[in-house]
Amino acid sequence: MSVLKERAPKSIHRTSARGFPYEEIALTNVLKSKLGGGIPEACLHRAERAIATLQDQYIQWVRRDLAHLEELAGNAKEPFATDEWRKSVKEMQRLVHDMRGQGGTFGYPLVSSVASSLLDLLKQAAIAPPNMARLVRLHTDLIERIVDSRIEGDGGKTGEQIMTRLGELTAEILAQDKDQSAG
Amino acid sequence: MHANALHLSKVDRLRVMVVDDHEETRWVIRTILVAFGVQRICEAGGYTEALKKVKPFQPDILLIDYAMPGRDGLQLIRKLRRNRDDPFVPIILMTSEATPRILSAARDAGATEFLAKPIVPASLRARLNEVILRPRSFISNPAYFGPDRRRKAASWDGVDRRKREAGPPPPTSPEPQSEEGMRNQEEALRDVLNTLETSVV
Repeated sequence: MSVLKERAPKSIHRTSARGFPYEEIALTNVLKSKLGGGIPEACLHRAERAIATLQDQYIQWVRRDLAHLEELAGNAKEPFATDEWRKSVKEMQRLVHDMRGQGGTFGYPLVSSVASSLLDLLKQAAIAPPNMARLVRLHTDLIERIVDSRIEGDGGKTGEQIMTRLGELTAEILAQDKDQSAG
Repeated sequence: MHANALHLSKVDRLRVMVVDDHEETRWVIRTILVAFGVQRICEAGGYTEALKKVKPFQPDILLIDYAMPGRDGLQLIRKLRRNRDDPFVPIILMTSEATPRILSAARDAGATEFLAKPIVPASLRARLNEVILRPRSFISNPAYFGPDRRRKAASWDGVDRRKREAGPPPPTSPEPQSEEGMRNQEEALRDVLNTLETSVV
């Protein structure tokens, strides 16, 4: 049975400085007594080791997600957004969102940075599907190279240069997209 | 000392429910929780599954993802706070987009704590210990029901509390084991950069 059931909250009726009545409910700290304290620091090292054992699994997840992303990007058949394309973009957003989150967990913040860049682009509805597909491929190729080479960490100065170059290439595609839509 | 701390801890009695649509994220969280000594873990992939499982499982703490397809984490928190069986259950909202707008909406919904993604053992332990060791009183008025937010507001000094407590951030690049490892890493990075440099879009 949950300890929360055993809680016996004490309620006090008060009035805020602005004159609004409210109820303050004080809770007994049963969780601390149930556990005899918090989670000890010693567990931290064990958890870090456990995460390290999932590294190979993580690489497999990334490869699977990259393949799925490329497959979805392949749905960019028309120069304008169809319902099918919107669906694909939504699914791509979900995949890239998760990829961004997991990069940091497994020590690949550079993957998170590239995923973050792609996620921002996927949220821009105005980009024509074929150009969005090019942007997706640009980013997925880069992520693939990072995980294939097992580049952990943020890459320092070279990592910064990689992100700068990615930004330049992205800007070129966006400029072409703008020209095409204006023409 | 560590062995003693582990011996005294009864973390195995903790019941944690993890709600996230992403199976791999649940796997990562479960791996960390098991390493912490938590044995009673219940997983749900979304709003409906969580509501179905919460009553029989009776969690001590819920970890809920913000971005889920369909009804999101905030809707689930609001629903749980209206649950008469256990409206005070500590809820940790996990989000990779900790923007002021989302954090404010999460507080309004009744989240107890936030866990910024990426999830790493240190931050998960810190947030769990926060709700285990320092439970907050609740506030109830016609417009709000949830943890008392005043304590945090009063202590706000413009610096993220987690950053303040953690001190200066550690370097994000892992320390390579050897000079050779360092060289290999740098070479791999240069290769990636060179390929990008020659890319034509």
